[in-house]
Amino acid sequence: MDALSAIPSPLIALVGNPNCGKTALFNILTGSRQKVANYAGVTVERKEGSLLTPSGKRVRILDLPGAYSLDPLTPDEQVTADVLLGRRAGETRPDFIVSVTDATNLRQNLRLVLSLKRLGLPMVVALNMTDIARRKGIVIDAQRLSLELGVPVVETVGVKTKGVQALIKVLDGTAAPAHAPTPASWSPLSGPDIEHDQAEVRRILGLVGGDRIDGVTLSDRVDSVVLHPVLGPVILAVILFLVFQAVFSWAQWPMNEIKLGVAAFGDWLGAALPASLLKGLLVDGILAGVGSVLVFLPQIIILFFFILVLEDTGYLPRAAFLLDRVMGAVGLSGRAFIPLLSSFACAIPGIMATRTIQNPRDRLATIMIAPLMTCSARLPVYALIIGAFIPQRTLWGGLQLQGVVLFALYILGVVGAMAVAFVIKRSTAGSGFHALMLELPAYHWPNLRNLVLGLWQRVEIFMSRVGTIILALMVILWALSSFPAPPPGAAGPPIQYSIAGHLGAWLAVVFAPIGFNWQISIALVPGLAAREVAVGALGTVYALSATGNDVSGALTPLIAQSWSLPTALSLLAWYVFAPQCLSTLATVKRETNSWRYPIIMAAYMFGLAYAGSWIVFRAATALTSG
Amino acid sequence: MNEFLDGFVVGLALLLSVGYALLSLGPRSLRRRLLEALSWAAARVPAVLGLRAAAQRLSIAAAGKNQGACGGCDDCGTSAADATKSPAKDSPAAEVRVPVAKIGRRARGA
Repeated sequence: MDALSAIPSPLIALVGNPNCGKTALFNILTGSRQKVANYAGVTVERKEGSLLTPSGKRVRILDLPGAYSLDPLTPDEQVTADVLLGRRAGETRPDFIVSVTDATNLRQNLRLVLSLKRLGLPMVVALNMTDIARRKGIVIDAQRLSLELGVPVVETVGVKTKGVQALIKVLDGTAAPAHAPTPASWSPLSGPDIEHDQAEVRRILGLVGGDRIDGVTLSDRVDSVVLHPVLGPVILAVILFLVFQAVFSWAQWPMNEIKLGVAAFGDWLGAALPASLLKGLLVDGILAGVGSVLVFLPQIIILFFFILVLEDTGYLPRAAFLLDRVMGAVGLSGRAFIPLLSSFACAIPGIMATRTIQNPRDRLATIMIAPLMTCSARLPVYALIIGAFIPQRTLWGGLQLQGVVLFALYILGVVGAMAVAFVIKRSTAGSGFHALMLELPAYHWPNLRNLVLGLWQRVEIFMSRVGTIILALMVILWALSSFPAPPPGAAGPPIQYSIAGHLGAWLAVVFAPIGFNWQISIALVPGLAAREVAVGALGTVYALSATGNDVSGALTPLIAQSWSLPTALSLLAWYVFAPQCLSTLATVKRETNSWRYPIIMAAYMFGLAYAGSWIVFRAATALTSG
Repeated sequence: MNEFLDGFVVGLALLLSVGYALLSLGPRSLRRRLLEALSWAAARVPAVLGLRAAAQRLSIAAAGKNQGACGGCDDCGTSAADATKSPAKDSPAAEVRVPVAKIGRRARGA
């Protein structure tokens, strides 16, 4: 990217209303793989890529967050306005604007086009989603639209390579100006300006068509069931419940295959290498640790398959609408739903997505509870403990008990988050109710390319974590667990005499009231970097704790033998609430521009985790001993 | 296996692991300083080793953003959007007052 900026190539900004297909267009033009989904507010930060035009010219392309106007109401709209007006530090003003408009919703989109024209930059209007518009019977006279707006208009289909050829031709003709554009002066639109634009939009629509008001569409008919006050929440609960069932039942076979593969490789490596430090590192450190985490890849793929399908169909904003009442009961707006839902994948993009929330108090409250949503990094921990302690029993209706427990853990995280949001909103002065204004996109079938790319991206992210930070931490943990060597005549496993062993013994004093042994206490420390590291750490610690030849044994049966049920449940409760992710805390620091909030977040989450684990451990101990 | 070689390989793996963990989990300033130091060192080795390009890449990486331990979905952005402030506060468009009588006028007319 830095090398690119040194080349004097024109900078082109893609601007438009939310969910009009800017990022899909950006991906096609630049060959990028930025996240796209069928709801507003997916892009909250500027993204840059480059395009080599047919004539061999390189142009830089900026994908900006969706905006309804140049008078920003939310932090993501602020990014767009600042870039276009040349107010963003360290960023040159774009040389050319591609105003991306949704051909199926021209009435709303044209207002922004008129505002963009006022900036005085060269511009082309990309009439996007023309394929969907045609299917809906919406006919727009693009030539007339171009004449009325005074700028070129090209028809595009942002999800198809062939659909952007006309736009690429226009971009080929752009040139970097001799002088970089200077920051623009912009004053917010006054009431008469807005009314003038509105009248102008009506006039243009009257001339070019495209203002057909549909009767009852298929989406409307689906919504009459999906958004029904009684049926809607039931359908939502059933969908989520089935997702978690699938995570366990579909993943069995591939997980077993990976487990067998890792075990076979471990056996081969153990036999091939002579007894040495390197063998210890490879077998007990890397393979036991990394192999324990790798096993959970199929479950992560299945979970994301469903999340991506729900995103692409357009169901997610409906879920936000359905949950607005629940959110409202704890003082949050339904707009917090999308960031919270993103947090099920990872809290970091979830916290970033809070930029679409207008009210700063709502945004802060959403940031503070986002890490309580069950991110995919918790899945390996949950799956490990559930696999070891919850029997593979089928309940009525073919439901699996393990899937039910996993669903309950997700619900526990959501309930915890709602309770915390309630307390936060109650304790902050000036909190008021903010009505939810949300665009509901038309339903459509998931795009196979998006689905495959999205899943591939998740696999890449998971494998990159396994191959980088998890691997590095496993090597460090192995060293801490292996040195110093045990004294001559020592009877226990070597790890007990190591640095990690001593650290575990100290930490065990703190964690004994919640039922954690010294092995768990050790695993929690590297697990602070990222949650799933704890699984790898347990693999390494138990491999080094073993005496005799059972070193290569799988982790699940090992912990099933070593822990009591109350300890396992207590650890599950710990992982529901504990802030075991440094990257999340760093993101909170950056998004709030203060250390105060990440410190408060870490303190309340650790407090909640300890209290939750203590209650669970005591209750489970009382029940199982009785 | 040769005991020295065994210790050397394990030591190198440990050193690289500690370095990587510090780079990805440590504060940005530390990451920048580490990469700058590596770039400085790489730029000063004899040209025959061909590390000049690596030095340049390290220098660029030092100036760039941290990918982070999250795995790098590149969603983290490049700058903070202060959650304690709202852009809407200063904007006259923050509150749009629409007369109730006007709501739905277009739909009736359509």
